[in-house]
Amino acid sequence: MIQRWSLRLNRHKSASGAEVRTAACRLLSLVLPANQELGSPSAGSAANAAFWHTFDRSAPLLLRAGLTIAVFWLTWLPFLRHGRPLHRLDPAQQTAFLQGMAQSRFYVHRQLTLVVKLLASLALGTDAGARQVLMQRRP
Amino acid sequence: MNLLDGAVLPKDGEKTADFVIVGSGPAGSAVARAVARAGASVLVVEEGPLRKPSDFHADSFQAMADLYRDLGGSLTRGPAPMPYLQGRVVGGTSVINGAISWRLPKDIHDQWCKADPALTLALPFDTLEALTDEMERELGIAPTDPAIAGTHNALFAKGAQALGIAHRPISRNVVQCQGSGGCLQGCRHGRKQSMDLTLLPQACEYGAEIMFNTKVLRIDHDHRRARGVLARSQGGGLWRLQARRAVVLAASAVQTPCLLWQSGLRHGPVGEGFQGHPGASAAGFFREPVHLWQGATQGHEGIGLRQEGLKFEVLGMDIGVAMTRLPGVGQELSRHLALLPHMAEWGCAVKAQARGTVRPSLLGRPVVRYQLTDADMAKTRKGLSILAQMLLAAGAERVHLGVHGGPTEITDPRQAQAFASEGPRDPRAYAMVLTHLFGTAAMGSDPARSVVGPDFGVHQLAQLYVADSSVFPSNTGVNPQTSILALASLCGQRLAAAG
Repeated sequence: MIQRWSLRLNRHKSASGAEVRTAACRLLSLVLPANQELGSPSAGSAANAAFWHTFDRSAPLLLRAGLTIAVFWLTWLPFLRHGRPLHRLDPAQQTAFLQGMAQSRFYVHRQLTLVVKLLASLALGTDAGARQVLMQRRP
Repeated sequence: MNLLDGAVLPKDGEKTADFVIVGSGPAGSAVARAVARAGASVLVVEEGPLRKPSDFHADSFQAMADLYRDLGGSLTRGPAPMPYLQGRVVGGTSVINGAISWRLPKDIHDQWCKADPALTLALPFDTLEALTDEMERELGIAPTDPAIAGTHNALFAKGAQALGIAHRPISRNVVQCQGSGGCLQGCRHGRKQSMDLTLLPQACEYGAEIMFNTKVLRIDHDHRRARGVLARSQGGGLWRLQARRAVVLAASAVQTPCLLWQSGLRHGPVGEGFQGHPGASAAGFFREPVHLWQGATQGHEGIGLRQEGLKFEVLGMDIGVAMTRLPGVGQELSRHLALLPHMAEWGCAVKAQARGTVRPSLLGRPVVRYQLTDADMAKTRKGLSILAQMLLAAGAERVHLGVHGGPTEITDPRQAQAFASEGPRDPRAYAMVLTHLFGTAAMGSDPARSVVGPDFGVHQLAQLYVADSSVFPSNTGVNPQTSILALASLCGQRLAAAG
């Protein structure tokens, strides 16, 4: 009986973990989208399985918790105003919301946005193709 | 090297050596070599893995995951938490720092001796100078060669010169640097003379053994003297590492006081007096390419305001980290990616007055409480103001400070100047990073006001010594690696001579 519950719990955990991961990738892509002109991918697509494996293995609990909170908060806070989560807003609304969070008078909002921006940048920095493009490009 | 990998040690075990040294960074390496050279048997215990230059990664994320403690995400607690960076690898922080080498400033040494005259005899300045000379020779410490410094460093020199701030190429422990800009990810060319490539192999030639992937849990003692340490190998084994002559803690100003606490050694100000050098940075955008990931990672510095507690440095970095300094989020950030090759990033290190504490949490993890003072924030504002002026003087078209409530961008020197008086007071407005950690097991003659005595021995317990920057009575205002090496060498020589 205990084993069955334990299995169910683990299944539930991995399912919710996968959902958080999908939501995190979506958020990273919104914070650092692809640049068509340069040919760089979005941070979300650069954050592949290897990236998350390394993150899970190395990140301290506080950072992992910070990312989960940031994903939830930044995804669902727009619901209060627009009745839709962040990824269902139109691009102009998404940009306005993220900029508002980055410049918010609330320290926590700024920090949560910074955590996601940091991870988005690090994720894109792991993409060999993006590195080559970004290091050589001239405006 | 004589190596023992804790990852393949699933069973419990025991080992005995004359000296058990906790930590393989500059302090542990210097002590290990000194006592091993004198013929003692030595066991160095390191929590992190062993890596070769060919193992190092070009991108910052993989490098931080592999070589930095907590993925570089260790945070202080307080109203404005800030990350503090520490290496977690054989060789310690010397593997992932910018290789900046500063001699212990005489004025700092004088301050220490004035506060506690016993230190005049305990840490003779001439002896420390001689030990520093030796380290400089052995680690190839020399000013950065202009031929490999790169545009980023050259622009810094131009900016400092224009503002009349004394500046110079940074002296670094790098031999035949190729200017590949990868110091902070570990030098993939093996040119940085970090401890894993220098003092530790030498110590091993004298017979020292390095046990890595093994975390020390506590100091084993009988309330009168230290007998060894209890450690957990990554493979899961519990290891009793016994010391015939002494245990030497060299685990950093964060981990050392935690070990003392966890071992019930709390007499005196253990974990108090935590100091560091918080740093802030400014990004400048130039018309010409800068390529801040090329050249010497940190090759030039502004030293004219050191007496005021400000030091300026070039901050070369990988693009993964550099992107976080681009303005904006979303489409705005994406557009700014095109500016990356034209961005320069310069930092100021503040000799902060703030004193914090370090204690282990219930789970045994270090908790660092630290809050900058108003005076520290005034220095930070002045530092950023000067950096912005330097960037503009060097030719930057605009400067981005990334300070909440400050100007979005600075294009005019008067605007930059005004930031010193008009910039936000609240530390939460700034994105700062804490480096160079000191003072949590301070040296002194009074057991009530210090943790270790002038002989580096812990007041409370015989045969237990501390050799890392925990023993520094204050922060130094300059990069501490060479000072740590000098003090730890002195500690090692005395332990060796004690017989």
